[in-house]
Amino acid sequence: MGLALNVTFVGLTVVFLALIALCLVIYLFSKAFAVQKTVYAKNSQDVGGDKVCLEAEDNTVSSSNENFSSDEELIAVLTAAVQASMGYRSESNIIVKSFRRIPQNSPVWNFNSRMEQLAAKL
Amino acid sequence: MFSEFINTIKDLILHSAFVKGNWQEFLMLGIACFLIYLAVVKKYEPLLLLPISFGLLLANLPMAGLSSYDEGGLIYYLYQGVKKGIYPPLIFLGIGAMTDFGPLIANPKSLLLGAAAQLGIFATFIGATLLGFAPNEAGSISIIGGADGPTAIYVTSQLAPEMLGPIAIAAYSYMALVPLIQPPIMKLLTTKKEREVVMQQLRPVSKVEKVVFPILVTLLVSFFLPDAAPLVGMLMLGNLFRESGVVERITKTAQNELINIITIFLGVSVGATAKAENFLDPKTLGIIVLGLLAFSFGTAGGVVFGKIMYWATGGKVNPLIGSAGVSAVPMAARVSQKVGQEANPGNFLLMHAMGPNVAGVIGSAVAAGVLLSILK
Repeated sequence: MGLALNVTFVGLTVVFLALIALCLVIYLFSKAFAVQKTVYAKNSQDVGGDKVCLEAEDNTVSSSNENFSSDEELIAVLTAAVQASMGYRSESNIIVKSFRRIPQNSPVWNFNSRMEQLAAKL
Repeated sequence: MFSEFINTIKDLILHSAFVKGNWQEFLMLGIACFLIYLAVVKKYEPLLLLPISFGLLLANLPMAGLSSYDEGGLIYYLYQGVKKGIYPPLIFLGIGAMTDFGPLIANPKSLLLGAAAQLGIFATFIGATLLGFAPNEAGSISIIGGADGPTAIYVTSQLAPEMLGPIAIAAYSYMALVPLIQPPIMKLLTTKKEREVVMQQLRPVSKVEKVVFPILVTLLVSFFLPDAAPLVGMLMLGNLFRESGVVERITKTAQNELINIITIFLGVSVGATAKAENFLDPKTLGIIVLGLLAFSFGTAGGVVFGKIMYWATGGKVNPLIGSAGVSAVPMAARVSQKVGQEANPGNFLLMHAMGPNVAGVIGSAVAAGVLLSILK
């Protein structure tokens, strides 16, 4: 029984000490390298959280963005979002012709709280 | 000529397993079939329980000589990977490549919950000693409380290899039963108000943190406890592969082909250690009872520490995430999420619970190192 108590006491102590040490190291490390909330807020204010506007006039797709692969992805997302809102009817043959970014007009705290709500739902 | 024919048939029958087999072997074949049923139909941790149960069946085929102890056979050579402690660290390599430690890095206090949940290991050690098990046997049984199959197999193969079969079967069966074992204990130890706590969203974690984390953990834990180095080192190597982003091919291999192959070898050879004379022993009943106690104490330890953190932080930590400190990833985190949602349908505890859940993997590896360093 003495050995059992000894192993229990030593074992729990060592496990806690090791993980407390790890906890402290991670905490100190995060202070140096973590993505700061203030930096995020500043960046989002600068970038503005641009809105995307759809224009569907003919069957061609055009984009002013230089990165062609990310444009394709964005177009796919926009098409899916529009079709979802229209109920996936077969006759709703939506093709995104072009898109352009417009500046964000709502306050930065509105934008941040929308992002937080979305993240919470995910 | 006819009498020779009859004698030949008679000899064949007399040398067949139908006559030479004993009732213990037939009972073990029945147990193997039952475990296969649990794995296939009830889906109790089938990835390990199915090869383990079939290995058990092969080992108990009368006169077939297919157990892990029968020299010269395939399973004997496969078993050497278990005996020499090779397979569990390789499984940990795959687990590390599949694990995201982001929730843990974002909330390092989760490590304390992972530590508290290891109470199950040490409380079971006391219980096993009281029941008359030798220290090395008690250590092997108690590691079931870590809720980590490879760790349990690694420790048992070093301390009490003759108990490998029943301990592996108990460990994986109880891991599958986590959604049944944990909720009553969680509800018993917490109030509704505590279960309703909504936790603050986790901060984003940078790539630099995720890359440096595995290196830091390996150095720190191995310096503290060199016996934990094989498990923790391989876990963190797999994680470094994943987070570095520069070795996608070997990350995919570690996550898929490697872990699948080792799982097959490990499962079959561990199951094939459970011969009738090892398994049908009163000690097996003790293992089954103590295994349940181990999981229960581990859950209770994590929840109680979660309550301490709830009080210490003024109600910011939901104590339910403490139960995820048992390292049954991600099942225990899902249980915390489910019980939390029963109390507050709008509450999403899953990512918060993943922190203690993955911390439990590290905690159980450290606890295994402690047991090996004291009892080996």
